[in-house]
Amino acid sequence: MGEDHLGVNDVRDEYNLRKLIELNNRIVNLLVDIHKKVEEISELVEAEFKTLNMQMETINEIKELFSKDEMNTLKELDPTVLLSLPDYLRKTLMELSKHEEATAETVSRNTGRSRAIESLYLNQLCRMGLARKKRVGKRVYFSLR
Amino acid sequence: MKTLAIHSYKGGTGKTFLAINLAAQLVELGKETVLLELDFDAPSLKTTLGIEAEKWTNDVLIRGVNIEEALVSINNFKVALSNPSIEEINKVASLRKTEYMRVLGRLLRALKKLEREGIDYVIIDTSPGVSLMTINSIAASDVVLLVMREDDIDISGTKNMIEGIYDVLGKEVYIVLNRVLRKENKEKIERELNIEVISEIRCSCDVPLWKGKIFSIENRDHPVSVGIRELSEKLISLG
Repeated sequence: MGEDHLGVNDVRDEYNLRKLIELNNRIVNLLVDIHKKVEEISELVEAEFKTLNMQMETINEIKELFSKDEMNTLKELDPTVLLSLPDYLRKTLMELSKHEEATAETVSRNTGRSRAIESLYLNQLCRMGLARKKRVGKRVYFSLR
Repeated sequence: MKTLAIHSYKGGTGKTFLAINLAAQLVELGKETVLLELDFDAPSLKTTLGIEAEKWTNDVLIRGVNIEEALVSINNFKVALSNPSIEEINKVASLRKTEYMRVLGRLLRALKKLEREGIDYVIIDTSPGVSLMTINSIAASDVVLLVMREDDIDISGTKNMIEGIYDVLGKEVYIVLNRVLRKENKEKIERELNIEVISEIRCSCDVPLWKGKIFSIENRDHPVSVGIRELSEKLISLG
């Protein structure tokens, strides 16, 4: 008797095995969630590094254009700045001076250069502290500082 | 529209005389012309022309008044004067450096307005030497006429100014030699400054006697008037 029938111990073992499988599945799901989170964090860190790199590039560009002493005076915009700017930026600054405020498109119409180029130069002027920008809806307006 | 800045390294070169007479001659040659006095430190057009104004270039550039309100008609051309009162000269002297960038903006907008109204030439009578207002005047101009007195030339000072301002701003520059007694300095000056002498205007003792009147209109055949007329023709031919 009894050899073909499950004993009490066998039932307990099966119950334990099921419990183990359930636990295992929960652990796997948790690990998948953790992996996803780590990937998200990694993307965020990468984006931050990208921004930081862009900022460093800008700082280096400005450093190339101006000596340390001139950097300090750039907070104050006066006509002598016109004499220290490279030609391509002076052209943009002169055109911007003609307007109370202007979009990159308006500036590009009068300089004969593309909107994308003027947008780049206007943003560079903003980073140098010579111009400022404000967003109104989808449009970005630039003005002298 | 062409904007001509009449400038010099030193004072007393005859800039204002040239500016007035050039404006008058350009009008004679059928060009709509406006003369702007931007010498805020030592305005002299009011006395030289003997005219009055209610609004001044100071009001246009510092207070944002419309350029049309400052224009006064004289001999077929229009002129906007700088305010010669001591209070106003002091006010300009105490302007913050940053204000001059706003002044440039207003100057460029005023020129745009004159262009829209069909003006062919704007002549700017600037202050001599290098000042923030001079940089603005040069920056806003297409062509610079550098006036030099043949008997009082500072080559090294002028050279510094040319390299420090005109070259940097990429301006088309010509020299006008004024009060010429002997025609022997032209080549030397051209060689040393590497700029074409576009005109040599003879020295004449008659000129100071005509204060309050436009010399080249009152004395059409005088060699000085002929010189300025020829200069106007050359400038027109430059396009």
